[in-house]
Amino acid sequence: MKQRLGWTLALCGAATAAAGELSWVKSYDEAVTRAAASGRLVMVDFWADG
Amino acid sequence: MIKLAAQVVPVKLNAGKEGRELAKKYGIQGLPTILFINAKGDIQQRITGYLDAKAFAAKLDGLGGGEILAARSQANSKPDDGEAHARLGLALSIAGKPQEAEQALLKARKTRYSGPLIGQGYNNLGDHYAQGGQLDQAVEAFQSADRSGKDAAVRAYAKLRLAEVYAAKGDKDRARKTAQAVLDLKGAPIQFVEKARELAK
Repeated sequence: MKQRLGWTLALCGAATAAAGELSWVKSYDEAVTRAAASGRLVMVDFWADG
Repeated sequence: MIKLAAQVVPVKLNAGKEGRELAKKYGIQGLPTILFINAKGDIQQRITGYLDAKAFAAKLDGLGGGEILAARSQANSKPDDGEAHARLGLALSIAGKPQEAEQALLKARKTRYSGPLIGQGYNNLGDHYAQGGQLDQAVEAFQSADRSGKDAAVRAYAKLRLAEVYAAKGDKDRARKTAQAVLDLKGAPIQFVEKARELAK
C-alpha cells in the first residue's frame, strides 16, 4: 500500500507539473474510443485490492 | 518533464474485477502493471512494478520520440506523402509541440490524404490548447479536426470537446448547439453521445 501510494504520488507529481490534473476515464471502452479519436495510447493501470 | 495527460488516455482497472478479462488477455501476472496500448489493442510498452517519475517519463519519451523520428524521416524522404506529414503532425501534437505539429498537419491537408491522422492531430492540438487555457486556439483546432475528414469518432470527439470549450468560455448557447451536433452525427461513439446529451440539455 505504501509503495502503491508512492508510485501514485510520483506519477501525479510528474503529470501535474506539466499538464494539470490527470483525468482518468471511467472505462476501458471509453479509453479506447478516446484513443481512436485522438491517436493517443491508452494507459491501462492494472491494480488489485489489498 | 512529461505531459502525461496529453500523451495518453489513462484508465485504472482492478485486475480482479472489471479488468479481469483484459488482464487475462494481456497476460498480466505481477501487479501493479501498466500497459500502453494503441486503439487497435496492440501493446506498445509494458511496465511491471514501481517506477519513479523520472524513469516513467523516460519510458514515455521513448515511445513518442521514436514515433517522431520515424515519421520525420518518412515525411522528409517523401514530401508529397500526405499520410507521412499527418503522422508526423500527430506525433508532434502528442509530444506537446504545437507549432511544429500545425506545420506538418497543414502540409498534410494540402495533399490528397483524407485519413483520420489529420483529425487526430488537430484533436490533440485542441486538447493541448484547452489544457493551457488557450481556448480560442482550442476552438480553431477542434473545428479543423471536425472538417478534416469523415471519421465519425474523430469528428464526434472534436464536436464534443468544442462544446466543452464553448461551455468553458461561458457561451452556453453555442455549447448546446455543438453538443446537439454530436447527437445528430451518424456513427458517433456512444461514449461521446452520452456526454454530449448532458451538455445539450
